[in-house]
Amino acid sequence: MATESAAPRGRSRRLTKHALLIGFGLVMLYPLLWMVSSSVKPDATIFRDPSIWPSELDLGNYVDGWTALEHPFHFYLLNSAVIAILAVAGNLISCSLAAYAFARLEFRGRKIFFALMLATLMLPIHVLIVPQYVLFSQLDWINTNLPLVVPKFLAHDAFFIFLMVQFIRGLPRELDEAARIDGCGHIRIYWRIIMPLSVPALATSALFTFIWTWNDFFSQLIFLTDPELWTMPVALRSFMDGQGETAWGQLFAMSIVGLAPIFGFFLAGQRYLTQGISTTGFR
Amino acid sequence: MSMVDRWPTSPRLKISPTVVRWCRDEVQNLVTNLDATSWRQLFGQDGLINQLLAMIGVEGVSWVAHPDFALGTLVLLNAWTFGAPMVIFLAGLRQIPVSYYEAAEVDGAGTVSRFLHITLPMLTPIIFFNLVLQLIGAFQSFTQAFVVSGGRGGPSDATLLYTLYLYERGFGSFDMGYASAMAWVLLAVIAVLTGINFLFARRWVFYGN
Repeated sequence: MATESAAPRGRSRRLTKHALLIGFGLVMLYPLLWMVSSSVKPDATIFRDPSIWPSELDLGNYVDGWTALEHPFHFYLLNSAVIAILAVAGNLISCSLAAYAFARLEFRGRKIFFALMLATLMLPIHVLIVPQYVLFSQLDWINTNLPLVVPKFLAHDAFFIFLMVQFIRGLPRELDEAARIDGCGHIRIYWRIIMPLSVPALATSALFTFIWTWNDFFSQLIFLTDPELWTMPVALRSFMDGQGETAWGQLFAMSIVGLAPIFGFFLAGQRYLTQGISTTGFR
Repeated sequence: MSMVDRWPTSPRLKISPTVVRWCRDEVQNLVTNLDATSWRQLFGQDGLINQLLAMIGVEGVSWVAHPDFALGTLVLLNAWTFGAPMVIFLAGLRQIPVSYYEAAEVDGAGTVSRFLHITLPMLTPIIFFNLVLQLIGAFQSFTQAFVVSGGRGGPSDATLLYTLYLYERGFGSFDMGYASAMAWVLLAVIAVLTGINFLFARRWVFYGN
């Protein structure tokens, strides 16, 4: 258009950019939106009606779903929270210590131990679960939270060790050396220098540990058979148990409830993720 | 049931056959439940995806039941769920000191050259991390293929991933020895590829000194 000057063109470009980004965001969010909308639809229309916008709003799924099982739903949420919070604490402490050792210490066999640590990531869980079960049952830990919590304090998650190693190796060694000249030992370097500079990595690890423990179905199902210990995912599964009709609406409604803590955890931790050392770090 | 008893047992490990059977049944249960309903409802001939495609005038096929599309659909689904690597990249971006960008700006570097000469090199340890982990994870893909094919790897073995066959040998025909051997071969293959990954990393991963 002849009248279009520089400013409107810039604005229309921004508009296009935002429209594209929002569209892409909606594509990514589609499964979640579908679940939210299904949770307020009557069971019969969930798989019939492709529209995201529910034709009628039915909150009964939330009310009925909350009390549908042996215990009210917050009972299972609490069980999950205990395990998830302990797992986060365990992983943050143990994995960062192990990562510091791999990234900064010189010790005999470091490369072999590092390779072995990575190798533990390479076997699928379906292969590991039977020997693990045997081990934990000999320790008499079945039907306790111990199999789900104790390994986290023993740096069992190689994923996070490797993640933190990659971050720590990116930190300038001059900082360590300066601290060593000032008389700092390894513990102080770890705690006073490496940890504060690794906040984004720690936040990421905490976030993923929380999400993955919170959503972990397989190992919780196998180690916790006592309904008194059931966690949120295991409880959710019992909505589709047996031969009867699955209450899909209630299942989706309680899944949304189960997702809420993850969302909350992310919101609470977000500022540690989006505000790293780039503002506080080394200048 | 007698097949289960072929699982090697010792008096002290009496629990094993039960666990094995249980693991299998649980996976099976979960999958038949999911399979019969939600997955087909989404990707079947009359599923949601095709209904949406019909709105824009595209006639879909049964995505997970067609031998030519089944594996591709799984790949797409996997690519769709890239949340974890993305958040890790985000943390990596936050680790890059702002002062580098400020210095580059003072020297007259544009957006593109700042990305190419600061962001990318500083991010290589994290790119490498995601590369290694995604490669390992890809070889272990199991659940989605298992769900869409009901554990059989169909149609016409199009989604018969290595792990699916392993599961079939171990928990389907209770050939635990064979399945364990397969698991070790898988470990060896992934280990060799990861080793190659680490070898090449020396050329392109930058640790700041």
